[in-house]
Amino acid sequence: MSQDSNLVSAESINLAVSSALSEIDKANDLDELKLIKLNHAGDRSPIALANREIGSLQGEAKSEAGKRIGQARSVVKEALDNRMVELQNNREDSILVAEKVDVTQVLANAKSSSLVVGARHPLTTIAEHIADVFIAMGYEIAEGPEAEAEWFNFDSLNISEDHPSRSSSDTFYVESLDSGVVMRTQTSPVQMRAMLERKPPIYVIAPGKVFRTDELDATHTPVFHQVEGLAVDKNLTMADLKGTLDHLAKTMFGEEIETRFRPSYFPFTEPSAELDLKCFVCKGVNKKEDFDCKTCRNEGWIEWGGCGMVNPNVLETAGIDSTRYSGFAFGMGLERTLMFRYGITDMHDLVEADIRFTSNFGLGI
Amino acid sequence: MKLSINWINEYVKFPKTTKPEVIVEHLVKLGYEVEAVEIFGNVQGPLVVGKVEKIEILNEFKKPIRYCTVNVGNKTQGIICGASNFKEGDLVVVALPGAILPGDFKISERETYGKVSQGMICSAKELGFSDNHEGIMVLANDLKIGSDAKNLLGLGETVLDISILPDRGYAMSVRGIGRELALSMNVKYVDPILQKIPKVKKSPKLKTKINTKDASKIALVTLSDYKTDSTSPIFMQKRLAQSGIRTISLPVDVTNYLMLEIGQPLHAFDADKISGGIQIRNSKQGEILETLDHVKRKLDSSTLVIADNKKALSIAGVMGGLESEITDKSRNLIIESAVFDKASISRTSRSLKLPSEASKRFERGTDPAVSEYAAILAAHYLVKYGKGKITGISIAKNIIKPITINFNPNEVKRLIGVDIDKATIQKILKSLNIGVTKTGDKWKLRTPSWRHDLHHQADIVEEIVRIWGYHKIPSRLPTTHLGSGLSKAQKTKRALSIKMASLGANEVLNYPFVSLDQISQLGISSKDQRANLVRLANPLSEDTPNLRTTLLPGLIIAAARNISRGIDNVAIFEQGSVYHQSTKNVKNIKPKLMKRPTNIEISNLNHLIPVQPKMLAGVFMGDKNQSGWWPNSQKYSWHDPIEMVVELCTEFGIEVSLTNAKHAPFHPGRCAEISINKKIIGYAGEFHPGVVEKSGLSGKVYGFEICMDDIIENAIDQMAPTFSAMPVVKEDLAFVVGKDAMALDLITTIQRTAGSLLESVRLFDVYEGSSIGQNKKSMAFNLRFRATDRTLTSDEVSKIRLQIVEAVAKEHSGSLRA
Repeated sequence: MSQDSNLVSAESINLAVSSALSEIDKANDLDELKLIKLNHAGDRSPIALANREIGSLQGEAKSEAGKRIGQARSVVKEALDNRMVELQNNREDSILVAEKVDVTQVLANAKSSSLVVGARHPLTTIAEHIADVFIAMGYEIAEGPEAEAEWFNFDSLNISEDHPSRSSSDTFYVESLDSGVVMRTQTSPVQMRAMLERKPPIYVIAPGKVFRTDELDATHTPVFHQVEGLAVDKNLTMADLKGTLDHLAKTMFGEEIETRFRPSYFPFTEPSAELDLKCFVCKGVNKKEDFDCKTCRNEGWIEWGGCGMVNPNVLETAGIDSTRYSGFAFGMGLERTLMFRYGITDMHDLVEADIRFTSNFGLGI
Repeated sequence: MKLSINWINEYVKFPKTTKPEVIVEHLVKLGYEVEAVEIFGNVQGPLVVGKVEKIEILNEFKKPIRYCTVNVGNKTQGIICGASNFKEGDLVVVALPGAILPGDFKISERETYGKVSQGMICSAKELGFSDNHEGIMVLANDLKIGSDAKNLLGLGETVLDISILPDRGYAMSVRGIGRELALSMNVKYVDPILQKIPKVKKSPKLKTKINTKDASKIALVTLSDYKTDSTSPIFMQKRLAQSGIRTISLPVDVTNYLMLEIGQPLHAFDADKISGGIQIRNSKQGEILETLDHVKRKLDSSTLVIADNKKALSIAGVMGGLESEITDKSRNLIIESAVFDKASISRTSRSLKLPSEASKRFERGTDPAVSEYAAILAAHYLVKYGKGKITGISIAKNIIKPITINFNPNEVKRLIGVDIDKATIQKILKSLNIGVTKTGDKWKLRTPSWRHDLHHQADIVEEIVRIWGYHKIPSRLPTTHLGSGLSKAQKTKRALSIKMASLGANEVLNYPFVSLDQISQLGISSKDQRANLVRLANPLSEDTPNLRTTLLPGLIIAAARNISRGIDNVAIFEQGSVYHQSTKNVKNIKPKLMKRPTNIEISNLNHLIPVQPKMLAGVFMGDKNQSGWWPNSQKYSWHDPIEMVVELCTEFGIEVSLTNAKHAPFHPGRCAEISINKKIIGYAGEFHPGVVEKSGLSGKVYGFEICMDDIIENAIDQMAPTFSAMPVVKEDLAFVVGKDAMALDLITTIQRTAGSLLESVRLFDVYEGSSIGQNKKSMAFNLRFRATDRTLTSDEVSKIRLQIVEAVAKEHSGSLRA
């Protein structure tokens, strides 16, 4: 008899079964049991190897060996299955129970814990939100430099040589005072640049930084942000302007918002208007003695932005025939919009770069 | 401009019961903002005119006290008074017991100074009439004793504070704003200049002329034997007080009163201080004039002056001169009324920093048609309320061309989008005193003398819609226009900002103002381009007079501010412009208006302004993620900012190269120079410890600054990658190399030697220690091999492995770590 035939002997099989059962019994967890299963019931296990020998046996020896090995396999399988169930139950009852955590720990770490979290400035994101409203209406974003030629910032916009806004007590001049370069006082020079770079129809929106010589206080800052809009096309009217701004107001402040136009004056628009929002906090019920509305300062209306039909002089300076084309333009301050939109009461919060302020706004997408 | 509703009501005939809110609403619709609606002198209860019949002086107190017997109409009251500026027989204002003065000051009968005081004799300040508290108010003698003094003094009347837009100078008077208010309220309007006043003959002596292009008219009315010892009439005092203007003397009060009522500023001279005729001329360069405020002012030739034959008498439209000022002793007066060029007065009042009620009106333009009338009426008032004789008038004027505008009524529809019928348009124009001559749709319009804001068709359209009603303009959207969304640059800029925030940084928006000191504190040498700063001519603060050339100073200051507020871990970033001196030497140019500038002009304008690249920078310190009960906390380290830049570029498909560099403000051994296609786009790493110290920070601080424009320019759309589904073979290799060996060089060797079967290689460990040897380090790489078409055999991989080991040995003197 070859050595291999010993593999199928009752002695060998019993030994294999008892060693398997003993190890199965000792298995501590499912991972150990998985390894034991591989060793004692896998393709290279003693019982499996014995099974391969059956083919070389004859007659009764063959059938006896077959029976013996079949029984051994089912004994081992049953032990494995039972132990598997035991260990699974054990995992449910003790291990997972022991692994329980306190999920409130996560909130116990205030802001920022193990995750790296940053945020964008709300002025950036509100400018994007406004731009997106206009992009959806077919506008493009136009841009221009912050240190700007006086000609673009003033002259080309029909602002006369002696207009008070040009004084050095209002406007930052790049040295010297007659350099012809100012820190732009408005986003309107982008209008002129947009008209010189494009041919009508022109629909652009221009958010950006502007500068005026105001000291920083609760409501002023020398560097602030505006968003400017310009449309030049055939047949554009003040009614289109009103509709456009109404749409913006609704997307920013909700469908219920009420607006009004009232006459105003800007050198670069004629007719000119001021757009007011009915106060969305006190709903314009401003005369109540017992309610002090901080949002509209009890005026009932909030001044939001200036607008009007592009002054024909401005169109002509851009080389656009003012008898064939008309246009409208509007502009509003983003700091003010943010302040009354989000209840920010002090301008310092917007400019001091305190990350406790910014982080509140998240990515703001 | 403050005006009482009562004054307006004298010329705008709305019912007396009209509520102030209604008037405010009409004004707002017309384009006049009402800043405040105030109650003038809020007095309640009995306030009457009393006559002081007897004054008994009580001398037993610290100061003499008066016990007055005052006739208040139906009875006399005994009243204690501390003031002494009145005498027996004077009429005064008496608050009787039960009256409440402003500040909730209740008047009652009380015992004081051993007497029973039955009320109070009031000063103007106690009544809220004016801030004059020098003694009590003595009234003119012609008033009825016992009559209501509240009515007389206008106490309790409503005053509107109206703000007038800069183009609407004509509205800066009762006359101007009243006309439009009457139109809007649809009530009768009486023009204040239609009062009948005596005719004045031409002055026989006084010569006058205009010797400048910046004035178009002067009217001078002369008075002789002028005298006044009485104050201005009470109606005038009341209205001036309500308008917030102090009463001073009859001549000053009269000129102020007429300026508010008619809109023409006036000036009075002492005729005896003047030699010869009077002219308007430009000042002689360097001419000196001492003005009413006792300041000697050196004038330049752009300043207009009123002058006699010898000297300047006043700065035209801005401020009077001290020498020719009228005094108590002046007996011969000249009232001057003139029309000046708007821009000239605006320049002068601005350059001398002397804004006044008069200059505000001249700057916006006055009505040349009323100047003579105003001067005559003023003289008439002086005679009427004082004493004197009007002796004559002298006038000089240049011809003022009337403005005509060609107007097509269809413009209203073209610009506003509503059909207002032509009859209505014509009616509105007529109501605004605009004359119309029609030839079909070609209308010729003549504007009234007071309107300096109407030049073009668009101005007329605005007027028509303003009167028709801005609130009736419908809300419509323009026909849809096709757009292409954000440009590549705009998308990239947004994505960079979102990416930085996702990487844990907070966005800040700093002011762009810096100083050379701040730049040198960063260790930036004076030869560096970043030290060549653009300066502002009029900075807010001399501490930061320049424009930034780098975002880092602002970020470092912002980081320090956060740290000082007890925030330990700071990660901030900014996207923004920096400003470099223009490289082209271009002179200030001003292309002509009303036609497109040439391309050369546009290009010159663009070369005039500083070069303004957009940068992206960040500063990081402290914990990247905080330590705590969770595993794996990390502090920021030198590699973080470099890695962020690489990540930002990778996002846009850009491959960057890194080299060690020395660049302020970075640590000379821990700074990466970052390039795209050999062009340097910025630097990243750890800041120089000296820079950190000078910034008031401590510990290690890291950062980067890159040019955003370069990223935008090189950004490409990522294409879909190809990858194999065949199994991977992993291989780790650790080499012992010289201390100065560069990781990227080893990787280059590995990649070149391994060829296309190497899927990736990654440095996962760097180790220095005695077991490795002096001046040596170990670098361990993790390699992944994969074929696209088959399972790799172990033989294939061992062969490549051997080649790599040989190549590293040859090129980097590296040996496999045992």
